[in-house]
Amino acid sequence: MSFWASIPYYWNKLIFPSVFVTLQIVFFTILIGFAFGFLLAVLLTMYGPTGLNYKKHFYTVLSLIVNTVRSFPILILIVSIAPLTRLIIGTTIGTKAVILPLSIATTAFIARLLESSFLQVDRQLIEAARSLGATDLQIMFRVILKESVPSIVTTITMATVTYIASTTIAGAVGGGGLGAIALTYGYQSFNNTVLYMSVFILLLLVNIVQYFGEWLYKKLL
Amino acid sequence: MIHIKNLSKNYNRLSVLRDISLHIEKGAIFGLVGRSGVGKSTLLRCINGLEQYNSGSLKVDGVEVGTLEPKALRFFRRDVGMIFQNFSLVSRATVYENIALPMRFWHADKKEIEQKVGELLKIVGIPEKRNSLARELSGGQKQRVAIARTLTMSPKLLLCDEATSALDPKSTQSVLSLLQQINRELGITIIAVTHEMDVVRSLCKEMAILDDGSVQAVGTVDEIFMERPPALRNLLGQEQIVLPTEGSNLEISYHMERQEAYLLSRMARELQVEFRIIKESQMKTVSGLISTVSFNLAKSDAARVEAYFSQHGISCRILKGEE
Repeated sequence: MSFWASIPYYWNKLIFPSVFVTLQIVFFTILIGFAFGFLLAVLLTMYGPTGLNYKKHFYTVLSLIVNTVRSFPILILIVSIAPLTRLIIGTTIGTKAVILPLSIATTAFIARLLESSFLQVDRQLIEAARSLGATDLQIMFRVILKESVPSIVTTITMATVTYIASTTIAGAVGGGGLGAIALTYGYQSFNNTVLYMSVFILLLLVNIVQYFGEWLYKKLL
Repeated sequence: MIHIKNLSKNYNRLSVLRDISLHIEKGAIFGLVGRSGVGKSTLLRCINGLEQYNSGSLKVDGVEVGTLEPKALRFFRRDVGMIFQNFSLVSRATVYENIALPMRFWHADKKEIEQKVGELLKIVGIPEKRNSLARELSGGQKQRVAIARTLTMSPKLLLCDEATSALDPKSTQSVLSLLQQINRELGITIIAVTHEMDVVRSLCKEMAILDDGSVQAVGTVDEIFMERPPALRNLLGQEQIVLPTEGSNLEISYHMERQEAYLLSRMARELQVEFRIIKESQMKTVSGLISTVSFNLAKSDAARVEAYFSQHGISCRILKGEE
């Protein structure tokens, strides 16, 4: 098979199906990660030292948990929480099994990024809201959140790009998707066509996400 | 309306406010003046409970602010509006939403909000900006929105924290006249913190000078600018004026509208003294024009001249050395 003829062949057989798997993993990872990460970020902002209502012990514990998760390299996190994954999902290989550890990592990642964007909202604006008689929750949701919408978009964009890369790492431990194809059928089979086709698709995905994220950011700013 | 007695505040060991006593009448426009970092903004924040004080008493309409429970404090703040140097608007929301914000905090219904916001937009003079985003406005317009926002709660008291310091001179004047209009028409007491002398003079009737956490001078703006106590001189900085070394150097301040127009020449004629003017300056306050004149005369005439002016209710100051 010539080089040019091999491209559509590999595309149909290998790349195209795995693009879907990758997208699926990224989508659910970001979705779950954002939902929990947002919740954590709200708690961190509300009860943090420069937040609305500092609760020292609560914040310290929460912060420690987030830091612990953040300190694991993604590959190590996937293998080290394998028992938990087996308990919840029933298996440690496949798409679903990899979404769990990835979502946990994304949750911590997004929580920290969102916390820092929430804390960047003008202190005086928060003081103004307080002077108008707002409760902490009202300040959080009607003022801080409203002002942070563009940076929330940036955070999601950044998380998506980061975790597109991470899904390929997950491919190394049975996660499936483009990473698995690139490794197994590309690198380990000495097939550069498959390897670089996978890389090219990843490059394309990252650029599309980044471009769309920036477009939306400008739109919302 | 506001009674502050022996109020002190410190952050850990750092004393920020020391033994402050002030009395502010209902309907007043009161200026709190001082260089930056002397505690005037902190004092202002004590009045609406954004900051706690360590000792002393601060009563607003008989209510001791420091002892209010969190919930009572929220209700209390509804009656005390506040505007800031950086306007503090939700930059991504429309003018309408910004003004409606406090009413949403207090769960007002849609119709009420609609009506009130429309009314206030007219009062602050920017009805055409209703649907603009806050960040698209000029500084003066932003401050108008901030003023309208505090007015939604019909406050009795409005605290201004360097409200015009970020504005150009023209917007400053228009915001100041809006504040005066609010004071006059709605009867809202205003306390303005500022480091700008022009602002105090063209807005306030009474003022207090704060330095190093305590009140250095208090009185009507006219009194203070006419008597020029050390605290004011400090604030105004060194004036470049070279005094003659011979004879006595005197300085008087008087109201140009209220006093005799030919005061000095009449004095010279009646007392038969000669003098030369070293410096003359005018300043405008809310109540009129104040003129300050420094002049030099023979030492032997000084006592007579002082007596003449005090007969006319004008106090004379003797200038010494570098002023």
